[in-house]
Amino acid sequence: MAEIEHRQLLTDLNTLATEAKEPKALPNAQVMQSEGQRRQVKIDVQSGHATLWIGGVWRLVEPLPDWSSVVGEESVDRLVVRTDRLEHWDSSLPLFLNEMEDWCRERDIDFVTDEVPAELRQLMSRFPKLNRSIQKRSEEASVVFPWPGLGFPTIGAEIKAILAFIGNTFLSFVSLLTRPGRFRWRDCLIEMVQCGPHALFIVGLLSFLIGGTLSFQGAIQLEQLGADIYVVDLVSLAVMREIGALITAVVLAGRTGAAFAAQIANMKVGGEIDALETVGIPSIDFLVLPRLIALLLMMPLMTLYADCLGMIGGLMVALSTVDVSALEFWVKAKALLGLNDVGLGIIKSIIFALLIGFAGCYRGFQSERTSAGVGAAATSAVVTGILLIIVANAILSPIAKILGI
Amino acid sequence: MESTPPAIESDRLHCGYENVVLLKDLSFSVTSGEVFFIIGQNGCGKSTLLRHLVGLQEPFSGTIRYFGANFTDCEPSGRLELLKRFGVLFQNDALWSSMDLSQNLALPMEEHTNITPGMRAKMVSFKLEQVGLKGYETYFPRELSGGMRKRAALARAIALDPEIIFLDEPTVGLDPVTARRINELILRIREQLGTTIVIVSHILSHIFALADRLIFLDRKQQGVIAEGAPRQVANSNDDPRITEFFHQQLPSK
Repeated sequence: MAEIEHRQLLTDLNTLATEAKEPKALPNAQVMQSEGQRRQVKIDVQSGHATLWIGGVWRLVEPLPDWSSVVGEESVDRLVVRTDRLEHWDSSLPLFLNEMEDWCRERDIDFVTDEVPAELRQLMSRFPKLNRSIQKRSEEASVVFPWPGLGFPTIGAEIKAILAFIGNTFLSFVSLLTRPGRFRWRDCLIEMVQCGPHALFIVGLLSFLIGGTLSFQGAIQLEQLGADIYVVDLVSLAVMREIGALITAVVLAGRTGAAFAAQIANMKVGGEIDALETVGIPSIDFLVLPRLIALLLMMPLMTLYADCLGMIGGLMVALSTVDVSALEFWVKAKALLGLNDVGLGIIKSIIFALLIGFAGCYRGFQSERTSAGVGAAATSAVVTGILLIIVANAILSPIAKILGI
Repeated sequence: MESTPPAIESDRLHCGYENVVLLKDLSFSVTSGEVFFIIGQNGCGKSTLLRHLVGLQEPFSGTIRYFGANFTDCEPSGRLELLKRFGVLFQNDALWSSMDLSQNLALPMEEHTNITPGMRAKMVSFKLEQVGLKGYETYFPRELSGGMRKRAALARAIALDPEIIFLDEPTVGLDPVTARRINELILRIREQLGTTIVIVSHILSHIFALADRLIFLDRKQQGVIAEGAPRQVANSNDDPRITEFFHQQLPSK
C-alpha cells in the first residue's frame, strides 16, 4: 500500500516537473531571498494583502529558504501563493508550503492556494499538520536504568531467573555424572585452551607488575621503620592470599566471561539455541557445562601461575630497592607461607571461576535477539563478573581470617 | 478416538508472547502424511504459532497433542520422546556455526540414536546427498551460500527421519530455481517417508504446488479465518482479506 502511494507521489512529481510553464512577467517585487541556484521566493505586500511568488527550481538537497526571513516584519491578514514561474520542484516545495500554512494558521492569516496547481496542493496536504502530531516513542525507555551494565528490569524476576539458571546447571551437572559419555570434551578443551594458554601472557604480565608494585610501595614504607625484610611478608602473603587469584579472575572475567556471553548471545541471535532445544539437547548441557568445567579446571592452575609471577615481580623490585638478597627472600617466604595461604588462593579461584562462568553464560542466555544485544551481553557479563569477584573476595578474606586459614 | 489420532492437534490454544495475545481459541488438526500450510499476512502470528508447536514457547492456555499424546503438559522425558519425532527448519537456517556440516547433522544422531560413529558418518553423507550437498561434509555454515545453508538445515531437520517436519518459510530469500528444488525435495521426503509436513509460508505458487490443506490466520480475528484445500479457500471465499491475499501475487498480465 505504502509502495503504491510512494509511486503515485513519484509520478505526481515527474509529471509536474516535466510540465513546461510559461514564464510570466512578474510585477516589480522586492527580492527577499535568492539562495540556491535558481529558486525564487518573492513577496509583494499591498495594504495587508501579500502575494507570494514562487518560482525556479526547488530541490530538497539545496538549502530551503528560511520562511520567517522571507516574510519579514510585515503584518498581513491574507497571503496568496502564486507559482506561475515554477520550473522544477520535488517534495521540498510542498513541505515549504505546508510550513507556511502552519505558520499562517498560528497567526490567523488567510492562506490562499487557489492559484497553486492541484497536484501541489494535494501533496501539501499529505504532510502532517504540525510537527507535534508525530509522537516520539521509546526515547524514555533507553535512559531509565540506574545501574549501567546491570539493568535490572525487576529485581525479583531477575533473582528468580538467576536461581533457576544455577539450579538447572546443577541438575544438568548431576545428570552428566550419570552419563559421562555425553559430555562435550572437545568444546571443553577448546575453552580450556582459551582461558589457559591463551591468557598466560596477560595474566603473567599483570601479576608480575602488581607484585612488583606492591613490593615497591611496601619497601618505601617499611624502609622508614628499618623493617626492610618485612617486604617479603607483605608481598608473599598479599600475592598468595589475595592478588594472585584476584588478578587471574579479573583478567578471565574480561577475556573469558565476555567471550562466553558473546558466543552464547550470538547463538541466540542466529536461532542456534532454539535449534538445540528442538533437537532435544538442553542448551545448558551443551553450552554451559563445557565452559564452566573448563574454567573450573583452568582457574586454579592459572592462579598458581599468577602467584609465581607475582612473587617473582616482588622479588625483582625488592632486590633493587631494599637490602634483601634473593636467598633471604626465598628462605623468609618459605618459612612464612603455609599450604593454607596457597590453598586460600586456590579456593578463591574456584569460587571466582564459578562466578565468572555463571555471569558469562547467564548474560549470554539473557541477551536480546539482536546484534546490539550481543555487545550488551558481553559488556554486562564483564561488569557482573568483576562486581561479583570483588564482592566475593571482600567476603571471603575476613571469613578465612576468622576460620584461621 | 476410534481411528488413528491426528499427527498434530491444537485444542483451544491461546498463544502470543510476553503479554500480547496473538492467537485465541485456536483449534485445528493435521492428518498424518499431510502437507499443511499455515498462511496469513505478516504479523498474524504464523511464526509464533510454529514456536509454540515445537515447544519453544509455552501457550497461555490450551493443549497441543502429537499422535494423541499431550505435548503441552507432559514430563520432560515424554516431551523429549516427542521432540525426537520431529524436525524443524528455522527461517534463518540456525545451523550451529561452530560445527561443520557433518557435525551439525551428526549431533542429533549422537544424542538420540546408538549407531556407531562409522555408521553415523555414512548416514551424514547420505542425508547430505539427499539435499544435493554431497561432498560438503567438512564445510562450515559460513562458507556456504544462502541456498546451500537452507538445504543443509533441511538435511539436519530430516537427520532423524522425523515423522513431522516443520518448515518456517523454507524458500524465503532463495532464487526461483533453488526454491523449486527445495519444494521438490519436500515432496520427495513426503513420498519416501510418509512424513507429515507443516510449512509456514506466504508464497502463493508454493502454496498451490505443495499444500494439501491450509489454515489462514488473521491478526484482527486472532485466529483462523479460513481452512481447507488451497483452491477451495482461494476460490470459494469472498472474505476480502482472503481474496486480497490470493490475488496480490497473481501476475498482472
